[in-house]
Amino acid sequence: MLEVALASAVAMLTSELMHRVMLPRYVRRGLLSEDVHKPGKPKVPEPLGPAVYLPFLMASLIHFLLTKDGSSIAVASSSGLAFLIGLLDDLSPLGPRIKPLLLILPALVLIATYQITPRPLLPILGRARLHYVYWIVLLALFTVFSNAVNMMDSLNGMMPLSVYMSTIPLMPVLAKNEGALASLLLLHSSLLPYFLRNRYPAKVFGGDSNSLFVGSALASISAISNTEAFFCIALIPFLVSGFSVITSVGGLRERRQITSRPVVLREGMIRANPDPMAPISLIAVIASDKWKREDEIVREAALLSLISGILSSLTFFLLTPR
Amino acid sequence: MDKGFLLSLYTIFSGWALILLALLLVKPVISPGSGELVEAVMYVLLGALSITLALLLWYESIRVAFLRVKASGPGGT
Repeated sequence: MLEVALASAVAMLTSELMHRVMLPRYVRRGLLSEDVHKPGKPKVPEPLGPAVYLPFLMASLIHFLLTKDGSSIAVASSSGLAFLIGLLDDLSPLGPRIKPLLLILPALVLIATYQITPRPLLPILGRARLHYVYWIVLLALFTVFSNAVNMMDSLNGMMPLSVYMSTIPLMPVLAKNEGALASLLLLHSSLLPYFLRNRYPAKVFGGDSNSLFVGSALASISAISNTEAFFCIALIPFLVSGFSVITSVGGLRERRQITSRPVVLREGMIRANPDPMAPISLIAVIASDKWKREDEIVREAALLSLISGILSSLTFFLLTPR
Repeated sequence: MDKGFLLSLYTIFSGWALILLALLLVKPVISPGSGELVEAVMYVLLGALSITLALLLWYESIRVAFLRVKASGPGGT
């Protein structure tokens, strides 16, 4: 555990340092995006994905050198490809159909770098043997998790806080898989300096390079520990959001292709769009009854994530034969 | 606790129940110890069918409740 603590400290410090170095440079170079949910639409540096992924990679290498456990390297490699796809999308937007397809590739990297066993642990069923089906499910898992985390990254601090809340209760579930637990802790550590700056009112945005990396890292961690189903339960708020938006707009669409927005704004307050044809998102569901402040919605989404995480952990310990 | 938050809580718990229900539905198809191709194909077909049907019903229940809560809220823009 000392090795994980050391690697986590490196991840956190490196990420903090990179934020401090990169932020003034982003401002000087005009790498800024509008915070559309605030009055006056202030401009915020984006994308800060490299300041989260590179410390994670460095910490994973240190963890590997100290423990010789290759799982952290496998997670860093596969999520690294998702990070690069996200960076490409930040620089020049990829199409709404190309991006989900590209996000299958990190799964192939994981299969190439880690000996994945097609025996996921499932609630009610116990250890399943899915020799044929598993690989298709694994490809889908990567693109679903990455896109779901990406869609959750729409309000200040919502994505990192919800990731913390849904995955911290999963730690006891990963207790028997040290590699997966170490990767999750390294992810938490490298995300912390970003979260402190991204929370309301945001001073940085991560961009797709950050959210796709985080989603892919979660998919990798679930796959190496065979706890895919428990990550699915813990990430229900993310999956609900992604699924509802895709279903209500009738398929995969780029943000600017969706004419009617899920929510409307008024003086910094947010509410579900009264138009019955407007897409359904988690934010719209939370704000369906009344006008809410952005930070209020983020807190409620985090509470939902915590409930899902606890529900997942309880499912593992009470409803899963082993 | 307002209706919007209660509705989002419903989506979480019903989503969880949906996952467990889908697993219960596919349980009879998986027999431990066998890895035959025909069985795997049956598993995929039955699993996909049950999950798709359950997902559609689940989404429809959320959509109807969402529209009702939205319509009862304090006006538009």
